[in-house]
Amino acid sequence: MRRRAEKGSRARMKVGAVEWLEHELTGIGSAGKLLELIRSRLLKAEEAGIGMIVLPAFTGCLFQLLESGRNNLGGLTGAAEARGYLEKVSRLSEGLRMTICPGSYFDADSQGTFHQSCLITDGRLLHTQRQLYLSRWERTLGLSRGAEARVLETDGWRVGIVMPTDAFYPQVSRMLAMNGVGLVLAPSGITGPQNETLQLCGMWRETQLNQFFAAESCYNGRAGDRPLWGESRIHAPLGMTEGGDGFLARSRGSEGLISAVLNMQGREEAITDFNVLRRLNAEFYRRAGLFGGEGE
Amino acid sequence: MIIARLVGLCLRRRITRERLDRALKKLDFPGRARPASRGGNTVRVSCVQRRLRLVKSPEQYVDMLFSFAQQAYGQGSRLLVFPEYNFFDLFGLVPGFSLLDRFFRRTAGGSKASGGGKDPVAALMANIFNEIAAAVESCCEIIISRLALGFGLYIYSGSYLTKEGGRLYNAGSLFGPDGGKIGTQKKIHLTDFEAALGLCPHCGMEVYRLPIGSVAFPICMDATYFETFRVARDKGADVVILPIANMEEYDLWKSLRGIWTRVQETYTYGLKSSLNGWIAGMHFTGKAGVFAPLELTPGKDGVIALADHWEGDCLVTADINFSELEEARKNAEYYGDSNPDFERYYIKRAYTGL
Repeated sequence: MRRRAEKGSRARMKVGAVEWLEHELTGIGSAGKLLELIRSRLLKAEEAGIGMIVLPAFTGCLFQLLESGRNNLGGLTGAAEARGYLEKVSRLSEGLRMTICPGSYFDADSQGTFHQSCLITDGRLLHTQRQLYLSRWERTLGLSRGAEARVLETDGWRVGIVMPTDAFYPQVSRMLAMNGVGLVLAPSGITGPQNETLQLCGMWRETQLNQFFAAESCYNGRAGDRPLWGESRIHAPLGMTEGGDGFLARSRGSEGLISAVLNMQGREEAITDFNVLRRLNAEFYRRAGLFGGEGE
Repeated sequence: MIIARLVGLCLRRRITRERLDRALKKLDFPGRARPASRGGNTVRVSCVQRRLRLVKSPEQYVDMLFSFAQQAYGQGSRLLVFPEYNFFDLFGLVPGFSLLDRFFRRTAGGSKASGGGKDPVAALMANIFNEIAAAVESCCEIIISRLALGFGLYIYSGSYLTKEGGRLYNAGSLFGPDGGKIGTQKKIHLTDFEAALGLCPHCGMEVYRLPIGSVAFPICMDATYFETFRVARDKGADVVILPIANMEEYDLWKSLRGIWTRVQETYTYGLKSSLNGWIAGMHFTGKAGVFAPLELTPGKDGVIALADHWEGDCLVTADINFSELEEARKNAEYYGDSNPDFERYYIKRAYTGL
């Protein structure tokens, strides 16, 4: 099977996932204060030796709301300008020895307004990812959908970003896994009634379905008019985790930064006995017309 | 090879049509065949969890299946689901099977790993499966057809072996209240062990539109793959039957990787039946259950009903409601979106090279 090898992988890497705790966001009245909060987390992460970090989804949206003086996410559609947020985060990243996924933001162009994220390292924008599927409330905002799940090779790792709603659409993670992704960064923020079980149906499920690593970073509090929740977690195949539960680290709602060392070789060993992707049945998917058929 | 032929010969001689007919005629079926409808869009369903027992006679096997059907009927169910490898008990009909079982137990440790083509257990089991397939298929179909007719139930047979064009498959069939076979589904995704036994994966799936809902019935490992349930849902399935026989110690987290998550992705009802116990050095565990999207379950946990333990016998019975399912789909936050630009080339981009 094709699943691309991760050439020249750096065997181990420490990843981090930030969590915004509700009380931290409640009092934030300006974009500057939000940047201060981000900066303090990044410095803490650098101190901890983290090489790649992900911030919660909607962090950039909150920045955009605070900068524009708007108080609802719908107000950003059609007018969202991502450049300001990305410039500020790029500046924060300068001199730090880590790759940063700065959460998500809205970005408008001639084709529509997209829910988007990216990777930044030392002041440079390395990679962008648009959300491919929309939740019910995102559809009411009139957001547009991206068209591809992109892969970045950095530091010897093949990395992809799974946007918050895309975590509930397994075809996105599968596409990344089949293109050799070993680490998924998942800026997250779930809407609707708080239910820990629902979160399992996102990145936990995707990790076990594809046996990659995933760092999930959650937003707790309001982004404008939208209440969001979730627990930051670092996921691995079940066989790699101490409790056999798929979690390398969890915030449990009380930690603003969690981290774990990812061991690529350990992962290869853990999935030897149960390698999910080995038994895919592509012929069945073709004949059954999965997602409409044969393709290009 | 000789051992396999002897096992095959023995099963064919002991499981004859005449003997099964005689056993089935002795059963005490109810006068009024069809359980009462629940009304509206509600259907009561029952999933079997049962311990594997090596039987001494075909009659004992018939009685065991009958008792589950009788319970399901008594509880007002319209659909009864038996587990994967529902025929393993029949190995008890082979004289001296305990010796063979001991041989398997001694050597089975290595057989669970992949690449068992050269494994003595896998090689022997492969030969045995080939020899007994026709007898097992016929036996299961005769019994289940009669039980379905006698109780007026829809009954999923559990899985058995079937041979087609010289190829061996793990398959199961659904029978209607008239005793007729509605359809057969072969397993699409094999375990490494099944592949080592020479079983073939199937490349098709049908969904059957019935008075009890639109039903698909993939098998066990098929639920590890989101693609299976996606195809089932795209073809209109509201209910996915999933017989399992998990060859490992029970683990909650491992169990969550299967039908439970698939049901959440596809907004379908999931009916899981399970075989447990020991045979040939292999230990099977698993809980039968009825699963639904989180919002349709009392604890918002995706579980309508679940066996208390992963071993032993029980019948898990629950009501499923299609109006509520449709309503949940309409209101779901993280379900139902599509992206033609992304999906257009999905198969080529994701699976080319497999």
